[in-house]
Amino acid sequence: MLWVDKYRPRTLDDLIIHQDLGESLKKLVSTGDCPHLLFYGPPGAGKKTLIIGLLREIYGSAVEKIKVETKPWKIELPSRKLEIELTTVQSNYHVELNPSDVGNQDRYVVQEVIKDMCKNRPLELKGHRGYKVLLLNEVDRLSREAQHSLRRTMEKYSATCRLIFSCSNVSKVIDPLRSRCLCVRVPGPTGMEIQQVLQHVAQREEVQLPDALCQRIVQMSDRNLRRALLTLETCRVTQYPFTDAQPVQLPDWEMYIQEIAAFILQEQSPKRLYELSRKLDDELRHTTIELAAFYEHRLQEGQKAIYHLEAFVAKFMSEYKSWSIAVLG
Amino acid sequence: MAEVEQAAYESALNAPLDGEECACPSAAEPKAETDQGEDLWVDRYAPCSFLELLGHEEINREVVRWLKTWDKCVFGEDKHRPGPKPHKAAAGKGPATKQGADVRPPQKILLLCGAPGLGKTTLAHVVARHCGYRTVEINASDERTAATLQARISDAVQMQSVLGAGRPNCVIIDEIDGATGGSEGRGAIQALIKLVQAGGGKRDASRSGATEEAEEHSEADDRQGKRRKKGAQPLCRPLIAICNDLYAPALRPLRAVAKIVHYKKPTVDRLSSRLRFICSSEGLSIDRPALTTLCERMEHDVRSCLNTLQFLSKRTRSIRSSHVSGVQCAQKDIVKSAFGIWQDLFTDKVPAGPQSSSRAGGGFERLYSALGDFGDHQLVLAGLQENFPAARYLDSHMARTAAVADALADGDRLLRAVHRRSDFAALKFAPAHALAVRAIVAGPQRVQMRWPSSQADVHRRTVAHRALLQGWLTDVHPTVFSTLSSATAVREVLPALVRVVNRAVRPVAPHLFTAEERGAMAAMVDLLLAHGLTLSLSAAPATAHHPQPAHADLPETTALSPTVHTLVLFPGVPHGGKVMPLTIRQMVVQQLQLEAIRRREAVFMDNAVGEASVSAPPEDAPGHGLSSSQGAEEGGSQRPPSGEKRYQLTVAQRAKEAAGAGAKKAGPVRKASWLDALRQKSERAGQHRPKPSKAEEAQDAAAGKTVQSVRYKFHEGFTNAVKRPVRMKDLM
Repeated sequence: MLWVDKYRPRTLDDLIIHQDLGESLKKLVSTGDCPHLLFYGPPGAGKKTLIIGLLREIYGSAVEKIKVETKPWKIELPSRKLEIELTTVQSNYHVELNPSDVGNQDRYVVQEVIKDMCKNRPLELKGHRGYKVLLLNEVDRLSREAQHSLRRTMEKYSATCRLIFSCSNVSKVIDPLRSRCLCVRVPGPTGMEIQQVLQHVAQREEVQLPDALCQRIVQMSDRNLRRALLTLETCRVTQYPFTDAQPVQLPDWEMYIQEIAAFILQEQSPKRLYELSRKLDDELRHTTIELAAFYEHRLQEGQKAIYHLEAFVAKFMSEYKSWSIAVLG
Repeated sequence: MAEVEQAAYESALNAPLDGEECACPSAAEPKAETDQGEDLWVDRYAPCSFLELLGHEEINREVVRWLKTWDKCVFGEDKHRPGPKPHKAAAGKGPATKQGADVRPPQKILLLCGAPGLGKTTLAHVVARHCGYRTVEINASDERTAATLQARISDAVQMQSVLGAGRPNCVIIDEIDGATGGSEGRGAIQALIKLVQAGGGKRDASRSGATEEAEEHSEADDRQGKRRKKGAQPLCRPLIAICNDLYAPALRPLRAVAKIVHYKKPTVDRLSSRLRFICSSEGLSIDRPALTTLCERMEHDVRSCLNTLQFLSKRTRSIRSSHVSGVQCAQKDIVKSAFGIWQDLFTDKVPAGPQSSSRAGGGFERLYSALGDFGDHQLVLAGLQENFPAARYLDSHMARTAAVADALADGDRLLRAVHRRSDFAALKFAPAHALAVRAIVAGPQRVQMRWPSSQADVHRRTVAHRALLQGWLTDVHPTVFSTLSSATAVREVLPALVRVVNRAVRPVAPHLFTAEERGAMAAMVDLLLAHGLTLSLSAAPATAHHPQPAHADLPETTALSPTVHTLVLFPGVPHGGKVMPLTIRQMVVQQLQLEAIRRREAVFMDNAVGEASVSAPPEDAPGHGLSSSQGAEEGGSQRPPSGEKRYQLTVAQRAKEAAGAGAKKAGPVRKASWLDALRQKSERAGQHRPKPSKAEEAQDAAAGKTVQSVRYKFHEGFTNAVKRPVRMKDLM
C-alpha cells in the first residue's frame, strides 16, 4: 500500500491533525444520536479520514469489513426503463456511493437507489445503533434536480438512515441541503501540520527526512496532505538517502501545464493558438483544473471548456504581447 | 394537348439528327402557346431537346451515356445508329429475357441529385426522349408504398403504351428522397432495390427455367405470390431516380447500387443568356446587373428565376436591379450545408466601393437568417473555432484574435444558458456570435476548411480514458478504493504510483537479494496487489498494448497492466521514473501471483472458520468468494504447472522447515530463502487486514490445525502417482 493509505489514521483517537474536530465528532457520537453531516474542504484535507474515523466511532471495528459491489439498478420510470450501473462500497452498517458518477441520471439514483437503501431498516444487532449511514461523495457534482430530490429523502427516512455528504465546494450544494446538515468544515492542513505528519511517517518508515526537503515538499503540496505524502514516497523511491538539494517531482500534468505556459510565452499568434488547442485538447480534463481558477466562472456558464480556455489563452497572449511591445519596443 | 405532346416528341426525335435547327422549335413554340393564355414561363420555356439543356454539358452527356448502355438490352443487338428507330423496338420486353447472356448495364438505376430547381427532372425527361424512350413519371404526389411502387414500376417496365408509338418505357422516379422517410418509405426503397437486383446472377445460370424458378421463389415467399412473380422478372428498362439530398438516410441502400450523377448549378453566363432570350421573346427589357443579381439571389435556381421574372413582368416591362433586390417573396428558403455556412462566414466577396455598404447590409441579414435556418449552432461554433486560425487578418496585438475567442466563448455560454433553462426562444440570438467572428476574420480569399473533428475526438478519448479508469477502480482493494475518487486517483495518486512502483532491485536470482531488496520486492508486490495492478510483461511496454500512434510518443515507463499509466503521462513531458528491466518485472509478476493465491487461501480459511464462529460476510471482493474446493483448483491452475518446479518448491519447503528450528536459534539468517521473507510478509499483511483480531487468532489456530492434519507423499519418478488435493499453502 502507499504510505498515504498505510498511515491513514483509523480512529478518531489516532488523528495527528484536526484533533479538535475529532474530539467534537466523538462527543457528537457519544450523545447517542447523530445528525446528517456535511463535510467540506479542499482535496487532501482529511475529510474522508474523518468520516472513516467517525464511522468506526459509531459502529466499532466491524465497519471496516467492507466490500465493493458494482451492480446494475433497474429503474422504471413512467415513460421508459433505465438501467444504471453504480459502484458502492458497503459494510453491514454503511453504504458509500458516488452518485455523480452516473452523470445526468443522478436524479434517479437519488430518487430510487437511495430511497431503496434507506427503506431497509438495518437488522438490530446487539449494541448497535438503529440507523444506517449513507455516505455520498462529491455532492457538489450532483445536479440541481438530484440535490432537490435529496431534500425529502433526508427527512422522510431520517429514522433509519443518516446521510453523510462530502464535497470540496460547498457553494454548489443548495441551501436546503446545507440547512438540513451539520456542516463540518475541514480546512486544508497548514504547513506546520503537514510537516508534522511527514516527520511522523518518516519516523515510522525509519527514513531520515531532512528539514529542507520537508519544507520543499510542504511548499509544493498546496496544503494537500495526500499530495505531500505521495510526493514524499516518490522522493524516497527515486533517491535515498535524501539530500537537501533533491528535486521534488511534480505530477506530470502540472509539468505539462508549465510546458504549455512556456509555449504560450514563446510566441503569440493565432497559429500558435491553434497548435496549442491541439496540445490542450488531449488533456483537457487536467488542464482545466489548473486554468479553471482563472476562468472558472466563464467555464461554469459555458458548455464546452475549449472555447473558454482558448479565450483565456488568447486574452493572455494579447495582453502579454502588448506588454512586451510596450516594454521592448 | 395531345398535339403539343406529339410536337414535343417530334422535336425530341429530330434533335440528334438536326442539332443546328434545334433552337427553332423552342423559339417557335412559345409563340404558339401564348395564344392559349397564361401559363407558367417555366413550362413554356422548358427545354425540349438535348442541346437546349442548361446544365453542364458533361453531366448531360454522362446521363446520355448511361442511358445508351441500355440500348443493347432494350433495342437489341442490331442497333447501329445513335438515333433509335422506335418501330424496330416494338418487340418491347423481348430481347433481354430471351438472350442467353445478361446484356444489361452493371448499374441499372441512375440516381440524379442536386439542388431544387436546377432542371434535373427536365434533364431526365429530355434525355429519355432523346434516347428513344417513353417516359413514365412517378413522383411524390403518387402513393408510394412498397407494394404500389413495385406494381407501378413492373407495369411500366413490362407493358407498352399504345399511344407511345411503340417506344419502350423509361421510368423516372422523381423526388425519391422527399416522400420516402419512415418505415413505409424504407419499404419502398427496399422494393426498388429488389426490383433492380431481381434476376441477377442466378438467372444467367438457368435461363430456360426462368419462370419456374420465379414461381418457386414466390412459393417460398408465401404471401403476395403474384406480385413476387412480377418482381422476380429481371429489370430490363432503365430507371432514373431523382433526389435533392443524396445523403438522406432512406437512400443509403440505393446509393450502393445506383450510378450517381451530381447535378451542378448552371453557370451564370448560360443562365443569364437564357433568361435574356426568354425576356426578349416575352418583350421584356432587363439589364445585365439585374439578371446577375437575380441569378445570385435565387442560387442559380432556374425555376424560381423564371417565376420571379414572370411575377415582375406583371408590374413593369423593364426590370432594373432595384426591382430584383426589392422582391422579398423571392427569397429562396434552402438549408445550406455546414461547409457552405462556414465558407460564407469566412469569405467576404464584397469589394470595397461606394455601394458596398448597402449590399453588405443585405448580406448580413441573409447570413443571419441562413445561420438561423441551419440550426446546429454547436456545429457552426465548432467549425469556426477550428478553422479561424487559418484565416488571414491584420492583428498586431492579438487583440482581434482575443475578441474572436471571446465571441466564440460567448456563443458557447449562450447555448449553454439556452439548454439549461430550456429557453429556446433565445436561440434566435445565436447567429450573432458567429457573425461577430465573421466581422473580424472574413476576407476575400478562400480559407481551406476542415471538418471540426477535434471535439468529437477529445470526447471519444475522454470516454475511453474514463472507462479505463473505472475498470481499474473496481479492481482496487476495497479499503484503498473507498478513499479514492476518480479525480484524486488521476490527479494525485496515479502520478505518484507510477514512480513508486519502480523500486530498486538488482536483476539477480531472488536468493541473492539483500534484506533491503527483499523488502522492496515485498513492498512492490503489496502495492500492486492493493491497487489491483500487475506489470505488463511485453517487451516494448509503452507500445505493445497500444499500437495506436497516440501512445507511441509517451515517455517510457514501467507499464502497468490495466494501462492506467497512460492516463498520467503526457507526450513530450520528461518522466522522471525509471523503467524496470524485464527480468525484474517477470519476478515481480510471479511473486504477485503467488501472493494473490496465498491471500485467497487465507480468505478461504477465514471463511471456513468464520462459518463456525462469526457469521460475517467475506472481506474480499465478491468475485473471490469461491468455495474452498474451487479455490484449490484455481490455485493449482495458476501455479507454474511444470513438475520440476513443483518438486523444487517442495524441496525448498522441506529444507526450510528443517532449517526453521535452527534458524530461530541463530537469529536472522542472511541467506535465508526469499520465500521466507515473503511468507513472513504475508503474515504481516494478514495482520494489516482489517479484521476482528479475535476471529483472526481463532482462524490462525484453526489454520494451524488443518495444516497439521494434511499429509502428502511425493512419489519420485513414479508416473502412477496417487493424486490427491493439496493446499497451495503447504506447497509454498
